[in-house]
Amino acid sequence: MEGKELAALKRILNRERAARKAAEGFLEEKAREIYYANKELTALNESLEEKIRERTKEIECSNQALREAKEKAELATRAKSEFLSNMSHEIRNPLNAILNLSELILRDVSDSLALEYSQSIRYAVGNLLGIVNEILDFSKIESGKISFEQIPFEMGWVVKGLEDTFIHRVTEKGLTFTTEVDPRLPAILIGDQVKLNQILMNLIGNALKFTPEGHIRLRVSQKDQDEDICWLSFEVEDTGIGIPLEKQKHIFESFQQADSATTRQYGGTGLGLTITRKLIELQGGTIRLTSKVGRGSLFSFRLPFAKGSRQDLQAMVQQEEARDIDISGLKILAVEDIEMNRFTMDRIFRRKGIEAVFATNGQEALDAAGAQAFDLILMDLHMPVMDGHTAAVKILEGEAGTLNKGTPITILSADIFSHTRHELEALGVYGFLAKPLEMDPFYHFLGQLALERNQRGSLG
Amino acid sequence: MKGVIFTEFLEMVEGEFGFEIADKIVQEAELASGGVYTALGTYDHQEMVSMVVNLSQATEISVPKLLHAFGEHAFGQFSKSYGVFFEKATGTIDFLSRLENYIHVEVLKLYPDAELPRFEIHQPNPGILQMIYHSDRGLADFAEGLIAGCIKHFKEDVQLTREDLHENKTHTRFTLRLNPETASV
Repeated sequence: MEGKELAALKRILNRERAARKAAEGFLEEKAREIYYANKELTALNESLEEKIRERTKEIECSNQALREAKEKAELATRAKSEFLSNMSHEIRNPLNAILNLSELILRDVSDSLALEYSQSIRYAVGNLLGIVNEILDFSKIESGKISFEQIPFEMGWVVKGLEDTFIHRVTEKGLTFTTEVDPRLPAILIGDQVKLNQILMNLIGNALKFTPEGHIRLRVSQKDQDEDICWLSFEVEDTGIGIPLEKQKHIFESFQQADSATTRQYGGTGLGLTITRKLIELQGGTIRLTSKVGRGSLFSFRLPFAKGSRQDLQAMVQQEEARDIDISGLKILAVEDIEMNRFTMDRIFRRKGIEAVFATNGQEALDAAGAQAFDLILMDLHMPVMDGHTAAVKILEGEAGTLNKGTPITILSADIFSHTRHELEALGVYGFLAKPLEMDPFYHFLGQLALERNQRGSLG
Repeated sequence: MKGVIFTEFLEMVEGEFGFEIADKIVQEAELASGGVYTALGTYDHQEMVSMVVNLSQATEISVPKLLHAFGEHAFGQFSKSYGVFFEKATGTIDFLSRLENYIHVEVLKLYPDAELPRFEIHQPNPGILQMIYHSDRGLADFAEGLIAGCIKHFKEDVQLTREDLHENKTHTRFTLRLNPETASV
């Protein structure tokens, strides 16, 4: 029995040994399989990584191409804007000369025919200048170069000014123009009066243009207010031709009028309402339009203004005084290379009895400043021989002698947003005036200067 | 048939009936493999049939009973060797409901040459599972043993009924019913 069992166990043991060897064979085979599979996996992994690298590279390339295309497009747009802006400046120069000269004829010439012609010239040039200014404003807004002043003013003046501006044209068309100002409005507001005026001029101008009969109404009322800020609501309402509903949402977009027939019939750049909307929105306000064809339109907008104080009022009164101050006898050194501009400036100076010396470049300006003391130096920037920037710095630093070391220097530039402005201000330049000179604002500027001089004189 | 079935079978025979019987059924079967089995290999399933028939003669226990007993034993071994399949199982019915779509799929990943029976699985409600066995090998008894082993593994009160759909035991319906009273245990 034991022998039998032993024999069975031996056989089982032999089978187990054979099975073990077979299993080892399997294991070796499996190990080899795993080894090769691993190798394959590594290769696959590498090829995947390679593919990922390639794809990444491709994506980077196309991103780069897109970036370049975008930059190119932006550059092209900027170049166009700059070209537009430059051309507008170029056009504005002679336009202003024509405008000023026709103004001079109107004021100083007594011949009735000449008067009539110059009136027409002034009207035509005024229109043209308006268009050019719109293009300039537009490019300024587009390039983010626009800024808003915080200056005290009275709403009454603004409205009175608008009445004066439009009364002739309104009467001529047989329309009525009424204005309503909420009596609760703060006496003094602080904000950008010039831009507000521009907005209202544009809306009222449009109303006038598109209203054949009936009336135009301007309403100014106060909405919300807190301690410092009050929100004003402005409404310009007309009984004009109206704007079809489907055109209303496009009316504020660039170069859009209700349709191209409008452009032919009524003229305009199609930029007016875009500029108006931007001027409002950039100040935090909103504009809305309700209109019915054949009934008329209502443009309403809201703008925030700071409330002014007594001190603000005093500053304002002083500004007012500057309007009436005598500026005759002021000695001005005018540095300007273009003869036509010098001619116009000369006429403007003469009307008020201002004594002017002209220089045609920076070097001549230095010579003139070395020879005689002036009350003001008007300095153009771009000139041959020596530019205005250099000349201004030299005079400020006393290189032209001591006679004019403290004389205020005002830069005359077609581009008052010039990048050198901050630099010149830091160096002590007195002010900047947009070129070419506009007669009344320039007289006002001189009045302020004279006022400051008188005050210094009486103090010291 | 996978070698693991053979090695488990012989181990069971050695444990239950002794080395002599184990050697005897191998010797008498005159197997092509010579009775040399490794878990990793694959062998003719007819060898298994011969050994079981021999074992039945030697022990005077019927073939179906032996296959059933072997199924129960094998499940116990599988649950130890392949614990990973049991990780997420909450009970017999849950585990077996995923036999075809999970366990057999994974088994084929491990042993690409495995020839597995096919199961049609229906679960009319959470407490009932119907499994229809299909295999040319006619090992429904072995399958029943495996299911019984599974019920034992989860220590559940599950009633197992069987209906042979073919006399060769190549198509058999198994129905498992979980006793609702112990369901929550």
